[in-house]
Amino acid sequence: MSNKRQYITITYYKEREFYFLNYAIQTKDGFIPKDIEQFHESDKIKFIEKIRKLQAEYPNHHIVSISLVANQIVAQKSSPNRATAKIFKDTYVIQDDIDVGDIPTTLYFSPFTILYEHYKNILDDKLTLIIGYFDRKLFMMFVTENKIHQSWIIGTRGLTEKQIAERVYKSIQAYYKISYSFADHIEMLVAEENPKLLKFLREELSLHIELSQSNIHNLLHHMASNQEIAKSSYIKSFKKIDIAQNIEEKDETKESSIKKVRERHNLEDIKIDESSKKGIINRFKLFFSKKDDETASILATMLPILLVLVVGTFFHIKNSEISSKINLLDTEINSYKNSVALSSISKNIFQAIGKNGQIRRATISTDGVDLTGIVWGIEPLKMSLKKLYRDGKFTIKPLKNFRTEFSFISKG
Amino acid sequence: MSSIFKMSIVTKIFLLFSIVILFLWVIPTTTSYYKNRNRYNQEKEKLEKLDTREVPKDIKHFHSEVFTTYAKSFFDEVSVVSIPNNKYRVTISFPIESLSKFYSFLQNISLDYKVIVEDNIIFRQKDKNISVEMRLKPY
Repeated sequence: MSNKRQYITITYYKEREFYFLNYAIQTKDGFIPKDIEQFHESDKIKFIEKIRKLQAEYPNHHIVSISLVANQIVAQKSSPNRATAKIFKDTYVIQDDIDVGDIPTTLYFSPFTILYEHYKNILDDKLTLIIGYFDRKLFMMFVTENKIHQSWIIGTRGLTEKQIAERVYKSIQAYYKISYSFADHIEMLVAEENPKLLKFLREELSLHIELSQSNIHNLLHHMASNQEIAKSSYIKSFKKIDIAQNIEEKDETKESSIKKVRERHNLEDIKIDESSKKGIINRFKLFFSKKDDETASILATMLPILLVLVVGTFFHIKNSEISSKINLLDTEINSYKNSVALSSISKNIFQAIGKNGQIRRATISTDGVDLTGIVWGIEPLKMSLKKLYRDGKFTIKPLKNFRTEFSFISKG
Repeated sequence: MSSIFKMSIVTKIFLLFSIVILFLWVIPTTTSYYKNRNRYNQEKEKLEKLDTREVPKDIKHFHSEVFTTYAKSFFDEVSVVSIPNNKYRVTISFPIESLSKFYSFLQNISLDYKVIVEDNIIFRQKDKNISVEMRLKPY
């Protein structure tokens, strides 16, 4: 069978700082998983590229993941405002929202849904405590064949196996207080074997505990293996699961129409559809609520305006600084020129007066002079001052001993 | 070109805004800055040419006591008094033989201190002594 017809399930989940990726070929008789790949969260782009590559290679696929958030509850009613998945009749699992971020995901299951699916065939009217141990959390539910009575999630980060067992026992005690029922036995599903935990659970609880082990990928491959089971995904709208028989390659037109149907149903399209209903103002709000690559693209959009503003502001500041410096320099030059002029005028006046005269008062400015004094021999002084100030007015008053009192006013 | 049409409306608005700001503000401001920078260099050269002192010194902000000490290094009697409108009245007395020293001092005041010597310097002479009163305005 060609890749184009094979139905594959691509599964992923995140634990601690790693993404785990797997895919399996689904057949009527079961699924054939391939090797599990691990990506550090800093290689998220490579992780998503790998998913895209698998999508391109196997057009008939679903991308399946598990919700490991701690705020999921099982309830008898669905919630219109929160992400809800139906486990079975009148039994739903609810969490705040579908939190897959920018990873393309088409099916998304709660651990409670997976646990029920795994154990539903052995449930009866006796109360069973089902525990799933994923991502260092215990997903616990008290179940009979027709009802999930109570659900709990206990975090076990930093706890020893003994402490975990004590917590489980306290949960059983707490449930007894509200229901007056003890679990008859415990079924525990773990992603990886933990004999120490099992030992402490058996010691603490004194109950029969059946341990089952299956890695998360295999659980997810099973959940996406047929339409009926997949209906209990948090993501309700998804393309029909089609496990093809051995069929020859179809013509390209039919394959391309299938591809178009597939593209319409992936999560990103749904997300885009939602945002396109919103106005421009809400788009701005969406910008600040997006993460990772979307944030990078938004920043890239804003880069030109930011760059322009930064460059403009820089040169504006530099221009203001240099303008201030130029003004200061101009003031310095002008005041120097003024000082030089005053000095020169003073020198000329005193030279004109010479040794034969004495100033009483001289007011000197660049506009003119106002002099009063006494001189011996007025004519040389007159000539000198007239040379300097043609329009100046002399006032002369002869004194005794050939002295002359003078005053000279001029506007320059 | 086709990628421009694929951009979201917000991206287009941002891009258009960037272009408008670039042409209306950034380019004129940058051009003005470089012109002013050239002008600054020219003015600086002009001032350096005007400063004919043997040992040019950096110009300082005016401080009355610092200036008094500076003036007293040239003349014995110096008085610096603050007057309204952020001005100072400086009175210097010296023998008439020191007139040339005074001309030099007056000429260089504005190269040493950020002050403008106002017009109307008043000279008074009594026998062989000259008293000069001038007003300085710091900037």
